[in-house]
Amino acid sequence: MADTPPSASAPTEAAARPPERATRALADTWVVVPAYNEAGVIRGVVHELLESGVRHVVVVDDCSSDPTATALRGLPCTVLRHRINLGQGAALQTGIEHAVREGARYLVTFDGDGQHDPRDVARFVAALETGDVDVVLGSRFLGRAEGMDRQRALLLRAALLFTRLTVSGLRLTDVHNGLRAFRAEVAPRLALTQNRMAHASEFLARLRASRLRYRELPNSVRYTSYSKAKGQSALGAIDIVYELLVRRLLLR
Amino acid sequence: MIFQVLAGLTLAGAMLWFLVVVRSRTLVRLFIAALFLAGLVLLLVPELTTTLARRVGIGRGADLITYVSLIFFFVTGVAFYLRFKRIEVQLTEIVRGLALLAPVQRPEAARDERARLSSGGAGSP
Repeated sequence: MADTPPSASAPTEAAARPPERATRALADTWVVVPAYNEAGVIRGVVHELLESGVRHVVVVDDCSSDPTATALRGLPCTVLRHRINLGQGAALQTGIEHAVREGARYLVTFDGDGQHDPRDVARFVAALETGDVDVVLGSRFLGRAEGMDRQRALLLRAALLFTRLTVSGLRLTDVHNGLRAFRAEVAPRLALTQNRMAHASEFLARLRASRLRYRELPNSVRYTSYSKAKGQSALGAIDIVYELLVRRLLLR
Repeated sequence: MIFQVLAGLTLAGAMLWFLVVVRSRTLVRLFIAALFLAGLVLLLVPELTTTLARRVGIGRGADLITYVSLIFFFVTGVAFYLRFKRIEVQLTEIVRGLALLAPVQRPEAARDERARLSSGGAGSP
């Protein structure tokens, strides 16, 4: 699974970081993993995270119909379970609230399907630790995405343009990336209310409104046949557009 | 005449059902009653719609009915959408609250288990 060295995606970052400092920051870091029907891979994802030096992992099982929650038995991580399926945005928010209550200093959101590289976590948190930024966002286009096909790349470009035009106005290269890190104290200002997939754009809208300092870092993304099948189809994009437009028209 | 009787009875029945069974605020109830009464009046005096339509600058009474219905359905749709969204927010709060209240697994559990296993299960610490 892990076949690329972490330095491959960002050699300068890795070289500039004193390792012991990053380890200390990791001790105060909570990684939030939303999971819906990930029984086949979730254990590997959490195991890899813990192996990479992350101490606190909270998995939010969004009412999976498969044994996602029990697949984690015996691993030193927290598992929360929604009694009703609410969507990825809601699962993230639940995990974030738990981590904040437990005294987290840094929060990292991490996809449950195994597409993210656990070794990116330390690098993202290290960027927060320097104190220069409040939020670190992952970008597939700064780093290298393994196995991304042309169609998906095009769809993501379109999503980027749409989000820039409508909500965010942020200078970003990747707007639908699940890997993010931020300081716990800014979590309330980034709270998600969009339960379903529009939460990615909502996060950016809140980020812009909050005027927090942000930065993009490259992250490697592994597109396996599994994560592709689990990921959103192009039709999902239409749903996201609809949700955001309705929301802007009616509720703001 | 037959249509007027049937439609009138249906309308009256629906109004009664609404006012008796559906619990709502007084203002909403008054509005619904007024709506049903207006429907009954229009049923009994069909020419009235044409007169009204001419008054507001629409040619035929049937057109007036269509326009009013469209607006009514749109407003109802929006109202229901907003209510649905509100309920969704409340549901999220409840489900999240329950999840936070009782984690299905805590990290300590695994550490305890590991400690027990590594101690050989002989009972000695």
